[in-house]
Amino acid sequence: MAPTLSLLRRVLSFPKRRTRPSGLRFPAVFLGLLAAVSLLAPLLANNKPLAVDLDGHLRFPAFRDLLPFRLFLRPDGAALALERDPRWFGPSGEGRRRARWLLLPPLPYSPYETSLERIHEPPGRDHPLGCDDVGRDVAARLVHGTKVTLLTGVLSMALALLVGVSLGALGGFAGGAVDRLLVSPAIEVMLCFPTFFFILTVTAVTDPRYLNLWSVILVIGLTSWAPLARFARAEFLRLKSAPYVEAARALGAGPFRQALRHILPNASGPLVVNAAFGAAGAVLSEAALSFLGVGIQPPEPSWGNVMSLVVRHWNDWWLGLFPGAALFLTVMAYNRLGEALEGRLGAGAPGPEEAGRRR
Amino acid sequence: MNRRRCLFGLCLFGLTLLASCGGSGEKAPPAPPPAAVSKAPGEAAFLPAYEKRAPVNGGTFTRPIPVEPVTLNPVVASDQVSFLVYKWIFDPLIDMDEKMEPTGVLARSWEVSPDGRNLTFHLREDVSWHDGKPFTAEDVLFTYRACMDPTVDAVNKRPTFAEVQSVQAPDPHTVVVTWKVPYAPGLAAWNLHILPRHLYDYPPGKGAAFNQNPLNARPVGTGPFRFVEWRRGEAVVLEANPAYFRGRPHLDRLVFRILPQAETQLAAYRTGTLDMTTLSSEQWEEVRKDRAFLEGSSVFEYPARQFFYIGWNLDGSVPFLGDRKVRKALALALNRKGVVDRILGGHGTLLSGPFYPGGWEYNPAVAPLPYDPAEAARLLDEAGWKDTDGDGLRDRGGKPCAFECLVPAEAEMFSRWLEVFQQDLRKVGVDMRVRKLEWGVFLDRTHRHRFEACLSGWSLGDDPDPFQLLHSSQGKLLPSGVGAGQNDGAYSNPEVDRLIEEQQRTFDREARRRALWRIHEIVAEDQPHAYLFASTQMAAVRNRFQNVKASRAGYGLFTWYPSLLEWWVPRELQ
Amino acid sequence: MAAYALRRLLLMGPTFLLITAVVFAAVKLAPGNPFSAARTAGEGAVRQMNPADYQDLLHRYGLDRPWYVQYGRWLATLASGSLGISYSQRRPVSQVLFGEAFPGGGFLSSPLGATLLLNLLATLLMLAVALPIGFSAALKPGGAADRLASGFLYALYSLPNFWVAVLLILVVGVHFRILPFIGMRSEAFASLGFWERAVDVLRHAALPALCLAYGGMAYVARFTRRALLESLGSDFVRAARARGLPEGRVLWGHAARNALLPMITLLGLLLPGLVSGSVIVESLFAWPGMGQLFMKAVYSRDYPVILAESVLGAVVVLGSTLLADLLYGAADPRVRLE
Repeated sequence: MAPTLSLLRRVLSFPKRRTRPSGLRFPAVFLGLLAAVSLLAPLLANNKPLAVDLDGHLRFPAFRDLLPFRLFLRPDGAALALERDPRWFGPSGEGRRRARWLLLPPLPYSPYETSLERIHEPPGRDHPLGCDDVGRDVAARLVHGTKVTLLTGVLSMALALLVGVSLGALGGFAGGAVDRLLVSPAIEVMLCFPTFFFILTVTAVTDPRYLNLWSVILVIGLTSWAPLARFARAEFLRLKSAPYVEAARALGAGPFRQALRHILPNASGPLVVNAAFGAAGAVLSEAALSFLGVGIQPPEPSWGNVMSLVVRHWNDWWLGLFPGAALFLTVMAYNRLGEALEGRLGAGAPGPEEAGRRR
Repeated sequence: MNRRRCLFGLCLFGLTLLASCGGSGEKAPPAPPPAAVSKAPGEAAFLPAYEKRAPVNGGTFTRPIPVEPVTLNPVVASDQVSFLVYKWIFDPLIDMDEKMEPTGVLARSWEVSPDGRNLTFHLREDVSWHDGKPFTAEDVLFTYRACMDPTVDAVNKRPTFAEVQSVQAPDPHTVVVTWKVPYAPGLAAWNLHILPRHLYDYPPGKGAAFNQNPLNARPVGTGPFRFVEWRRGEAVVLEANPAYFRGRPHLDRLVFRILPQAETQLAAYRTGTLDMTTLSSEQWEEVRKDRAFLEGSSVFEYPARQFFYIGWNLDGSVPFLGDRKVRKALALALNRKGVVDRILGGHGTLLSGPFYPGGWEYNPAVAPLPYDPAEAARLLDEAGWKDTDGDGLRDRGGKPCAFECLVPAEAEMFSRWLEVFQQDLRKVGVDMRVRKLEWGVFLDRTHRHRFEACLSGWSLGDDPDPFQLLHSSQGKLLPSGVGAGQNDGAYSNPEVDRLIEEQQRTFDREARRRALWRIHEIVAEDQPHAYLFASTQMAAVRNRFQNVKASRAGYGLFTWYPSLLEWWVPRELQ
Repeated sequence: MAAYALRRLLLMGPTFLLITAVVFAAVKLAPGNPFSAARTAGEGAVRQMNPADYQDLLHRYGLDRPWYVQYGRWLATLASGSLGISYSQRRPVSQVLFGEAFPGGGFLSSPLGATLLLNLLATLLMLAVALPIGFSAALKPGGAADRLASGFLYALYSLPNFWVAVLLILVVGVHFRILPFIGMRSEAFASLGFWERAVDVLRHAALPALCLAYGGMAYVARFTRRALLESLGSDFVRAARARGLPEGRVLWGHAARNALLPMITLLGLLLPGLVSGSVIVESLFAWPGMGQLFMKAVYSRDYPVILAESVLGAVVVLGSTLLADLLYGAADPRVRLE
């Protein structure tokens, strides 16, 4: 709790050390926008109306898809009708005839509905960003795929931080045999570990489709902690003999308290910066995994799997351009975030592992 | 900062637009596209000037292969790509011709004894190995014995000879095969490619020496082409054998380039690196408007000896799949024709049973099931599966009408079809979950019968015998947990079993046909699989190659005899 | 220092064992074995292999023993100096990885040689572009090079490599036909002279090397920039300037030298990447390297090849970390290696 608060305080309040503008605005705005889009996705792209007067009853079908409600509300009549015919509220659908009035979301398509008529349709009036190879609307898929991008970036790095910092702190702080025999070898094993096996094994063992997003996060998180651990270890090693830590020790603080309350807040700078850059890499890794066919599986939408279609269908330029632009801006945002944090929290070299990382 | 960088970034993407415009044809004035461009099976492709001319020797043909061959030893290799390469280096005793009739290659002629148990091959006497030594029956015996040797990795060659009692060579140019019982599919087994004993022989019982023989990477055979080099990961090169018994092939060289990504094939063909490319239906739609492409190529369209199906697991683990009515309803609910028309661009044929449409074994009276969701719903209602709890899914006795369909992840097109089928089934209230598995994992699960439904393809062999797929003995699980055969759904029908055995025992084509047609009828009723469609394939070959033909029996451009041996390139175009 | 090196080398042993054991266990966890695909493969609907034969096959290759027994046998093979025999190619793994004639002209045609060549070219390209940019960015903070480093190069990093590869193939390869994009050599290679061969390979390597290089440029540039900036801001540089040395000497004689130290760390981190082939780039450009080999080995469960590649990777990572530490210690006398 305390380390987080102190970190936040440092990020938000302090005077800028660099001559360049802090640049925290663009990432904050953009990532905030992404978060909003991912939370509100069912209201932005859905084949269910936002509000409809059906047979005299006022209903809000799209709202029932929002996250908290979706978990415990049962599908209503409109939803069931849409299962059988995704275009029930479309221009010639029965739903539209029965409704006195209806308000559709800006993109009146579900990201899952396929249509053999709309295969490979280029961007046009009906589908502003075109349709993919089974006729699904690309814009709807991008909107719903935002949550994958956000969660992949944030959660995989959170996992990597958790594992990496714990291990690194253990090694750096405890030192001696624990470090030499346990932590350092573990870090080195991880650095050489071929990630593909792990992915293959996870794919073979996981079951229901919902696990796919989490298996991607798990895979990326569990294969990215090594550089963070290395940093954490170096920082803890350096700081454990700092005067304020010794003072704390003299006052009777135990190892946990020293680590959490004193060392971690000061070590967190490079770690957070690295994590921000790592989030950018995680997003790109998800795209690579989708290309290889072991990422988020269709029909679940993700920017990576829409984009990987362009490799098979070179003429469908819209499949590459729009997700690519979105990915581009997101990665830039994470990088800017990393730079801005770097400016405020002090130096921490960006991971040169990225320079050598082979996907 | 942002504006300039974003602008730059968008310019970068603008390049994709440029690229896509550049990828397809030039900005020629609109002209009507050439009509009826592709050649039908059996039609030979000639440039008008050369149709009546005599063939000349010369020219190199470069074709792509998706992965590297595993090994160039026909007994040990079990993958398709190795076969595509080694079939030109070695010869079999007999091979299938363009119409799927057996034709003699190393065997001049053959006859079956009246009791149906003895098959006698009379071998050619003018054949020699690439190193000059003569070919004799000893080599045939040696190859057969190597297949049957338990220490040799003849992983899938051995079962084809399961019914053989003995193989003998009474003289250097005669081979006699004796079966335990008359076995009609046994003739086709002798498309085994023969190895030279004097080079591949090994100490008895030490099959490892055979498996790891360095000659497996630089083979010596009797075939129309000799091995030149194998640049690992890049290409395999063969050259014409001037001493081939049929006369040397007209082409000088064959080059097989290894190209893992199918998408780059077309690009490589356009830039001249390859002399042929397969075309997906989308690629065909793109190139048929490209005048320059069409003017330089012959395009072929031919049905492949392969069909796709959804296999149901009938071992009882999924209750509703055990009901024949339900299976029929599921098949009716799938819009197979829609997928063929829209996703395959019309390049596919619906079929009603596990046989090659257009072959003598296919019963034309058994029509493929239509797309009829109303009838499907009615059948499901009749079978007792109705939506009682209002969640949009049918159920009965508390169990939902839902199942999981496995599919190999590498086959992207399967996934696309399944996405459409998923929606189709949803419309009738059935939930199909799709689970993609890596190929090795997929095979493992299906072999162990640990699946509910699976989408797969089936390659039809040279003989229409459906034993592996439909006989109940092939559906049993062994103590080790794997299935005894390829009947992964454990389909069992005593009448079908009896008919299969009956058609195996006779060499009479008519009797076999009657039995196979009856099997076809029964299987269409029982629906152990939902038969989706047989695909047609399209390929483009540079039109400087004359006399290129696709087989009428689905063997494509290469897999029949003599196919490529009759291609030639006019001197001016070499 | 010698004692330090020796101690590190000794410690590498157990680490190495651990790495290979983990890799082996992970590989065995995936279901399937080298022969499961072969059971039903082949031309046509080939009859399934007789189950007794199949069990016998597994037994002959020792695949029916528990995983620790198999691992032990593999270790024993390794100890005797051999990397084993590849299941799918049925020839020694050392030949598979290193080519038939090693060392010699044959090395180039081995997967390891091909990958090393490509990665080396990519790294050189990356350094050639990024180092000067980073350098000038440090000299003129806020100037053109600085903006280039943080703007354009970051933009490049944000593009996934398969996407860039397709773009390059379409634009450079198909549309303008400037460079080839399939494989490592053209068909006519055998008939070319020495220099023509070198040019042929370089032309084929240009596009894939570019795909591999562009992503890391951003980091190398920033890293260099920071290293040089810190060095320029340090005390001894100010002292040198105060002594009246010309700026050129300050820069090259003092600041740049000090910036070398973090660069050594960077190199140490780049080294392992040299032997691991990028699966995506190699398969898109049909480059016959380790990435392609690796994919094939995983799909066909060719355990000896998979393990050999992991061994190679492990050796390189451990070796380069040690090398980097030693070089660092040699370069900076202040660093005490205990």
